[in-house]
Amino acid sequence: MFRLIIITSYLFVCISCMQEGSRVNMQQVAHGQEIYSRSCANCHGEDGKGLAKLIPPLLDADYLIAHQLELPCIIKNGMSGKITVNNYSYELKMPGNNKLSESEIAAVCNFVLFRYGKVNYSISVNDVSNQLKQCK
Amino acid sequence: MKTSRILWIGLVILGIGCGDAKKLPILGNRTPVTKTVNGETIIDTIYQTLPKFSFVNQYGEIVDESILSNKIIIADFFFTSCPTICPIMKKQMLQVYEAIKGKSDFLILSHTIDPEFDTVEVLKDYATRLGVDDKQWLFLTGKKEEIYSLAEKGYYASVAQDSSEPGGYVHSGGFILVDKQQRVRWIYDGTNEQEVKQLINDLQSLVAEK
Repeated sequence: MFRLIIITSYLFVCISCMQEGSRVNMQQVAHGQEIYSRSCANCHGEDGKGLAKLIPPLLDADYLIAHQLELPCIIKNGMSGKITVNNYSYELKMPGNNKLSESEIAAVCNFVLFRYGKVNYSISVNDVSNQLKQCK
Repeated sequence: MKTSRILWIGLVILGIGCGDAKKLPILGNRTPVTKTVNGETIIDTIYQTLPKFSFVNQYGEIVDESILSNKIIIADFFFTSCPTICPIMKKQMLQVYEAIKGKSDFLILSHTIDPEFDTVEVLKDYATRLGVDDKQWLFLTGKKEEIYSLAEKGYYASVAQDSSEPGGYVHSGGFILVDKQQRVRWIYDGTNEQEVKQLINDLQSLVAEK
């Protein structure tokens, strides 16, 4: 019994250390996933693979990592013109998501970067707010 | 011996019965007509069929109703800049395309409901990017009134321009299955993977129909 308590408390310590050490806010990611399913998955897919050579992937996309600071602007305002993602060029216009709030955009950024970009740091609402002020 | 024979006959009857039950219904209006064959008066049924049309495909060629002859058609309505259900529909239609590729009984017709933007060049690029480079999946454009009229009267699909909608148009996500006599047989939800699987299964039973 005593041993069980020791093991349990050891596990507790480990888990809390991990959570403190991890910079990804999993609650944000979960919230972001809900919004992604509603607002993004129709085109980019639940799996983030896009659609053929028509809609670019997010999963393991070099463009996502290279342009992550522009992500809030792209989500909010959409984009048009030719871009190159993983050596293929895409030019279908992406519509904006004007109805999303800054905290919702932050949640989507966190989900997309964590799930498809395999990035392990968090973007705050403050970051999003600042980046949105610099949209081209 | 006798028992097993009876059992076999029973199974065959059951098989025929089930086969009939699976037959797809014929949608649309039907008109009874009385005619005289060999001196006898009989009542025949005329089913509603697709009306005439004239469109242009992604290769710039004119396509009219003569293309339907002896083909089973899978039709849908979309537009290339559609931000809502179209990408899911096209992902599902790719499954249908894979299933019919190389089989001359089948043809897919995707009609744009935004012909002003979706020119032949835009449709060609869209098709190529989807991986369609043959004539088994045609992307059609034409006069807006004719496309909308065919959608509603021929394919029972609802399409409309609506500036309050994302992308500016609303349309049903249906995949419409049409038999070789140009009669609409069923409409499947093109955004639903299970229904599209059912459509692919039904293609086989439809081609076996006499």
